[in-house]
Amino acid sequence: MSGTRFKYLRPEDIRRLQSYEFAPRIFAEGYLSGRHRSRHRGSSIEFRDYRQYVPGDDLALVDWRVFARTDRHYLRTFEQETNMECHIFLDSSASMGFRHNDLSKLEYASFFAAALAWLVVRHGDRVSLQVFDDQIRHFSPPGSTQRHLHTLMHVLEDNAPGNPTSIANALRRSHPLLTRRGTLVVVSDFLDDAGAVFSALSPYLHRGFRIHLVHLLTPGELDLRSAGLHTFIDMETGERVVAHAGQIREAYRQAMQDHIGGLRAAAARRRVDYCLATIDTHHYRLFDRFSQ
Amino acid sequence: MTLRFVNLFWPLLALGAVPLLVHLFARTRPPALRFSSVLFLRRVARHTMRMRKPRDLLVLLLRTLAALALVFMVLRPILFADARWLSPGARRNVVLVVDRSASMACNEGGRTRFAAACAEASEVLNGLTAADTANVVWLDARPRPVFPDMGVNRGFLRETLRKARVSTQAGAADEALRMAVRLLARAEGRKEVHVLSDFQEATWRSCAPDLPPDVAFYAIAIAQGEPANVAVADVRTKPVTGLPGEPVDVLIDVANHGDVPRRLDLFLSFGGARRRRDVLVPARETVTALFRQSPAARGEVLVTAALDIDEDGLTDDNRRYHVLPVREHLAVGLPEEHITAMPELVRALRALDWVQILPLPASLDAASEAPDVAFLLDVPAHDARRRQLLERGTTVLWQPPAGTSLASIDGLAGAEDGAAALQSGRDFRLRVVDRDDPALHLFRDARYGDPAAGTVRERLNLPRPRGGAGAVLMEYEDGVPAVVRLKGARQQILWNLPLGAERGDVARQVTFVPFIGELLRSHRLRAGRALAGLAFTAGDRLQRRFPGVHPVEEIRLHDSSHAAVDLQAAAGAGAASVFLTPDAPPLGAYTWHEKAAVLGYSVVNFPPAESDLRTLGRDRIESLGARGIADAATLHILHNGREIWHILLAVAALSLFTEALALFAFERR
Repeated sequence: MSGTRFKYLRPEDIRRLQSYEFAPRIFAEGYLSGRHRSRHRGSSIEFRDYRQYVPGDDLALVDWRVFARTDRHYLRTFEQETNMECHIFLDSSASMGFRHNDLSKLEYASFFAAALAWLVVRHGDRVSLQVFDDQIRHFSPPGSTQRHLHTLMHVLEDNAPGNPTSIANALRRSHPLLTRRGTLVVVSDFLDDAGAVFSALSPYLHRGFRIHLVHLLTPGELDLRSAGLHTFIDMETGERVVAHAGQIREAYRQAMQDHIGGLRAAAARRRVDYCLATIDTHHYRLFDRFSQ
Repeated sequence: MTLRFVNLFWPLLALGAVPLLVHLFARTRPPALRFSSVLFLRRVARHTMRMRKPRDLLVLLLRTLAALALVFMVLRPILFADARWLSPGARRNVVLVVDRSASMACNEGGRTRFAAACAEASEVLNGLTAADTANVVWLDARPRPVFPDMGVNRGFLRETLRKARVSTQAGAADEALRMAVRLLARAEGRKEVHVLSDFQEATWRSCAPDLPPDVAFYAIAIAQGEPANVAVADVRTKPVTGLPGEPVDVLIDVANHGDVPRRLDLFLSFGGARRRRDVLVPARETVTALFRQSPAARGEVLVTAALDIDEDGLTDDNRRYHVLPVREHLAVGLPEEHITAMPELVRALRALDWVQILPLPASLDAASEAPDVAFLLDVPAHDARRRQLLERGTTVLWQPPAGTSLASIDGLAGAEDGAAALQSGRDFRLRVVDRDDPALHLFRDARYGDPAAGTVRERLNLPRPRGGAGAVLMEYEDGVPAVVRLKGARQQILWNLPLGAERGDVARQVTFVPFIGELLRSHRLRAGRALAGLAFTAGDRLQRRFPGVHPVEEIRLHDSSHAAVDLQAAAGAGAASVFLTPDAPPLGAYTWHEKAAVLGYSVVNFPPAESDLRTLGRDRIESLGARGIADAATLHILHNGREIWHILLAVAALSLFTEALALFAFERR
């Protein structure tokens, strides 16, 4: 890893990330024995209990010695010691191409996703990556190997802003792909309908996913820092709106705050972690927040 | 106001629509800005569109204004304030009435009002074309034109204006305007009278110009303000004629025509004597300073009053002259028939060594010398001598004869009907009524006796004067007036005190002579005749009459610098010689010489009314009939119009600048 240079995972990033220790709050469960204790029973070397066989159980788990002594079918159950699965949802819609000081939101999100993936793999956990806009443009299944990490880095480097955003659609389409529950990290600018987004998140919540929403915005999107009359061209739809920035700034700021407030309130109601980040701050700050 | 265009090409006005077309077809294209999402922008942009509309309208308005201004600038409009001046072919006939009265010598802003008036007059002349005619009328005491008729030689008029000097005379505005109208009477074309004056209130207050309707009267007000001015308004003596050794009160009126009180040094020169006095004159007030002097010998005393002041609106009025005639005797006229018929009166007069009896013939001619006081006793009311003497300023003691109609007696007219009835048969006693009268002042205490001593056996039964027509000095015990000083412009004493021995014993009383003396001394000539031929106002020609025959080559007149003044002889009446100056001399004191002897003085004084520099207000000037009140440049514009292309250019530039500012302000928001 140290001999390979990736655009979004630089050696200096790795050096800094090595100092981060993440709380189990984020990384909940995996399928390999690992450092994260799970409440779910599974296959492991640490015995937990016996239970009576019911049709459909794996015959491999039947304890034939007990059957010989009792003539009954019992299954051996073990305390499952899992590794975590972290699913990174990376919004790659056209709006993520909006830049601030030569850094686009997508690039910022890629830096964050790369660092997060490295951290997860470093701890022996599994990480998956989905790149989406209005549909799933790429899906990398969970993996915990360095090779898998390299694959993710290449995916990130080859990624570019694409079609209009539809987070809800992408989440709905991704749901069958995630066979195990884990941690869902959605990195997006959330320029979408908040109700639809949380509606799409409901199945994940129902399955017990921990969900983190990382809302990325530029300062210009928050405050509309442009001056004078402009023709604003929507980067996703090409729609044009002629407006005087000075005259609508307050109203725009209020509308944006209402939108952020709506997202934050909906997230709080569903026990979803919500984090607003502007790309003029370093993405390490996000890890600082996760470490708390 | 009317506009005329030099480059009349109306299709150019279509260019004014260019901004509108540009506005409609070339809408503003703001710079494009790729934005992550216009979701929220679209919600709030509707408000922006509402704001853009007034801004666009303002920009359109300013651009259209600028375009129209530029188009009109190309059309070269000329603005005429008065449509009457839009007849370019009509010939103009302009009479410039230039005020050169004394007030025009006032210095304002480093030059006199008169110099400013001449400069403005030249400007008016410069605005005339070769076909126009012009003339200048000088407005002073005797207005006169430069040309006898309207002329085209404007160069000469300009040269005359350049060389002209302000006079020290008063102004006769009515006469000057009448003269201007006469000059324009035969002119064809537009007739204009331009009055260039300070419109001093004293000169123009009573002016009522009667201008024909075809004559336009334009006032060019020169005065810039009302500077403070002090002046010696009057110098007079009391009595008017003096006697050697007799104290004379010299009364000097000092006027302050400013708005602040002034403390002044007033100098008096009385013959060879000089005196000084501080005088405090309140604002807009006149105070009288009193000096008491005694002439030493008979002759004429030149009295000069002068103010010592550094800054003043006018300086010519700070000095004033007066001549006090000093006689050896007081001339008391008696009709020739009285001299023998009234020995008591003659004896009393001869007892006064400073009285000279002057016999009055039955008819006075113009050349005969008028006495200071005249006794006309038992002289009918219609006697010509009484009227003549009163007109010459002589104090007349008149006793009407019995039967004189009361209506013909001055001061008693209207008191009662009927005639003056003679009353006799008993003794009528007298008493003094007004002991404060100068004639009776000496007898206020008993030291000099009672002037009312004695009795009268025959008198006229006269009524008392009514309504303040006269002051009774002495009366009979029954109230019938005996001596009445009649009030009025002329000095007359009604005498009801018979002097004959058979009519009473008043003339035999010891107090009679001093009473007559005091009466003569205090009621002698007060004004008028004594100064005739002595004091003149600026603008008058000096004229002096000397008794006897004097060849003109032996009479010389010198001014105060001993320079000789031209003289000419006039026809004298009787045994007298009359000399006069061919022109009105300047202010000052002049000395008449015959060989080495000084015959007397004549003085030329500043017209007092000119000292008040207050001017008429604009409304008052307009009430004179002036169609316009302006300066010459404005009148030039009136006649020739004003090109306003530069104003339009400024409007266009200002509009564009304002548009740029507005756009900048909008962009900044």
